Amino acid sequence: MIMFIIRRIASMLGVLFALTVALFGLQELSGVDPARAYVGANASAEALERTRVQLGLDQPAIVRYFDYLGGLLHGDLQNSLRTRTPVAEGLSTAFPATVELALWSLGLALVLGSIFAVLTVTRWKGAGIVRVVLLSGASAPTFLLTMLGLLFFYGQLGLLPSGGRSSFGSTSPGPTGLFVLDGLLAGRVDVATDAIWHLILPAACVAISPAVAIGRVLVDGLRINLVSDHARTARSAGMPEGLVMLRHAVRNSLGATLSMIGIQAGLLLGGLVVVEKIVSWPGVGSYLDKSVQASDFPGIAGVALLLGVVYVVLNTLVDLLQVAADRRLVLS
Amino acid sequence: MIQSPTPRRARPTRLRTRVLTAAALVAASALALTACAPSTGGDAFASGDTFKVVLLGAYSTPPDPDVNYDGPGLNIIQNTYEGLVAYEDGSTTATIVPKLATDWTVSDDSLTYTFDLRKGVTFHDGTDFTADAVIASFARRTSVDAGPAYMVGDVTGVTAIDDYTVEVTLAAPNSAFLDYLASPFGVKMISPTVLSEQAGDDFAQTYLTDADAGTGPYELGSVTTGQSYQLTAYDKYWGDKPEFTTVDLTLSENASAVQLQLERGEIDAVLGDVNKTSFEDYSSNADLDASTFANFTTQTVFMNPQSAIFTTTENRAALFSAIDTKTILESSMGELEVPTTQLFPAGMLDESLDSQGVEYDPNALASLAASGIAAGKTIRIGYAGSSPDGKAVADELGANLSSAGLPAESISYGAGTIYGLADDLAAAPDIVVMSVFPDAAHVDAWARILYTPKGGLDVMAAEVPGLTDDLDAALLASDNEPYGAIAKKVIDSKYWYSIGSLQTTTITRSGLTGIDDARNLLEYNVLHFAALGNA
Repeated sequence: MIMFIIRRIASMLGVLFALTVALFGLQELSGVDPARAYVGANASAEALERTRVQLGLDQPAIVRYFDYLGGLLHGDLQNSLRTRTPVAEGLSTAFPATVELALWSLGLALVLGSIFAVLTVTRWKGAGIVRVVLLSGASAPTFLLTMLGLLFFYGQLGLLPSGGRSSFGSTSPGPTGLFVLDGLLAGRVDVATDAIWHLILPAACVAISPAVAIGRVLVDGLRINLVSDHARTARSAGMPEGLVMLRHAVRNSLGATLSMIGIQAGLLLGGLVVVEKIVSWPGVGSYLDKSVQASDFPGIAGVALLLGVVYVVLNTLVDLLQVAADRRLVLS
Repeated sequence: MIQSPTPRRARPTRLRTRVLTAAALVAASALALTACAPSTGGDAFASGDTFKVVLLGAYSTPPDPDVNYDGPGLNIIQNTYEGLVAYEDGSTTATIVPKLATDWTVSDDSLTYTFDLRKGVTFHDGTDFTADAVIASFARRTSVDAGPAYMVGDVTGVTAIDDYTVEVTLAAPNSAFLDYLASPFGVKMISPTVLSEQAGDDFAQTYLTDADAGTGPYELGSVTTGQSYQLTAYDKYWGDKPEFTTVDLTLSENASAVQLQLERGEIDAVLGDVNKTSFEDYSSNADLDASTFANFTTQTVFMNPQSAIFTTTENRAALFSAIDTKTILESSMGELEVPTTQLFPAGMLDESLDSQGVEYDPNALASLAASGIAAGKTIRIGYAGSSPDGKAVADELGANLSSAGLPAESISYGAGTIYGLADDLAAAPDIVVMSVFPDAAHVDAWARILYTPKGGLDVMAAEVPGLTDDLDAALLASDNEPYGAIAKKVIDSKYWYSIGSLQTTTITRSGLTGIDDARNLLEYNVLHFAALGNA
């Protein structure tokens, strides 16, 4: 186990190194001038040149790259060219927002995917309707779904808020930065409820597509396992159908489902970038979007590195969970 | 005998009952949450003391007057800081009026400006406004040395005559100097106490990323950079007290959601670029007021000096004549942009000195198309993706050219790339359409930036020989005559063509007073909240 984790950490470092090279290369090839974004559109050529020197942009790319890498090794993600504050500081407030939305989206995807799978396998009469609704939702682009959701649930019905994270300001009342959890920890049920209300629309829109993907894999697994020899034996021994489903079908279907959850969790992060912009969610996606608009390389690189770490950690967790779910598997 | 279970047998009634029960519980929980949820209904517009405004677009630069060089940031800076002089709010002509200086005189050699300072003014930290603050504020502008620092580049000394009189000395006469002081990006007065106590190693730049130290009618309250800014009325403000004691300014990039918020009465105003269709929608809503106000932001056509098709002055002149400005702007921008006949922002210089003299001629390009110079080529029209009218105008212009027999396509450029086009003109588009604004209402502030290669907005690096010398000489003159000659030189070069003046657009709830007085000719989509009130 320890060797497995060490290997994963080593591979993560490799991924992050490759990311920095790719990002730096793309920045160089793009022809974008970060100094111009930094100093403002009307700035004179002299001011622009001074800024280039100030930001070290007059140095050869290789020198700037190793400067950046050196800072990174000391935990310095540099200052954002956009906000003029440390990137780490900006991400420390944006990341919890994204984590909260991602967790709710993934949780909702699991619930919806499970309902979809169980209703399909048990051939419940209304399963067709659920399937049509979920498949329709998953077929629509996430941004369109979110826009339509806003128009209907906010514009027409007034049931859900138009965007943002909370009606109680942008500061979380607790230590984690997760409004629902912090609200509950601080005894502020109103803050927690309000946060849930802000989460419903974006989380649901992000969750639908992964829910269908997870549900489909689970359906396949359940179908195979429900007619397997061990399920048949359990039934003949008098085990109730519900227990057969839980102990034999669900558990044995978990391996493939967990793999799919891992893949979908990674893809879900991509969907969040778009949704965050639409609902003004102050997360990493919004941070990235604004950084790209401002040609803010430290900001872009900071987000990319953070998401790289999250992606590797997620996959490691999924691997560990798969082994926990199926003892026949061995970490390698 | 053991039979294989069929799928049908794998759905006993008990399981189905449990699934249904679980579904019912989920539905009940959702209903319970609905009951607990905060109301999102538009029961009333943001009431009484608080003014809620959404700024469309992205803005994350620190609201530090010596750093900020972004238009949207003026919504914070112009409400929290003040300079010695300013352009008059609510006026469609650029008139310089007193602010923290009550009066001023200029020496006969035009080198020394003496300002009488307003008494009884305090900074938001309680420090009295005196000559020391002026000295410290000018010094900081130079020390920070960011984009707007050039405005005080000619200043050689700032001296206190007494507590309420200060003398500013220039290296050479500069007829634009007062305009630079009145500019929205001009030197703002900052508390010397704050500058001293929070200096750090960056002249208090770190401190002023989320705090203010000005004298304006509002203080900067809570700040979530790039997301929301709260302004609270300064109770010791020297001028008229604002009616709205709190201003909640939030940023959004989703115009549709913001439109819904406004229609549901959750916000009082929207600032930022709205397109023609949205503006017409807003205008037709009886609960809302959609209005425009004159602005110096000017839609400009930039010609690539290395374009294979438009190399000669004649060809460029033919192109300009073929642009049906009136129709293009009417169809793409409606009330949001007014055609202009002047090169400089409309009204900056008298029309007798500045008139482009371009007459629309639908057949102007016929001979160019027939000459075969454009055979096999597609004219590329670049526009700034961030520009509100860039795409609309570029598309319309492309359609015009195509119908004249010159195939054209429009290409969007990001803010980070459009300013780099001059580095490789061979690969740059033939034409760039972009709206630009001047820092100050002085011809020098416009011409030096747009028409000289050292200016930041000469995006195609076109050059008029001797123009920099002409501009230097004009700064010494006591009247605008030299600028007439400069305008003619630029117009004759046919490298630039001003086609329209963008209007500031403000959408507010109805029943709001003081909208016009809250706007300024030099500030695009900016409100001075202290002028606003409830009817």
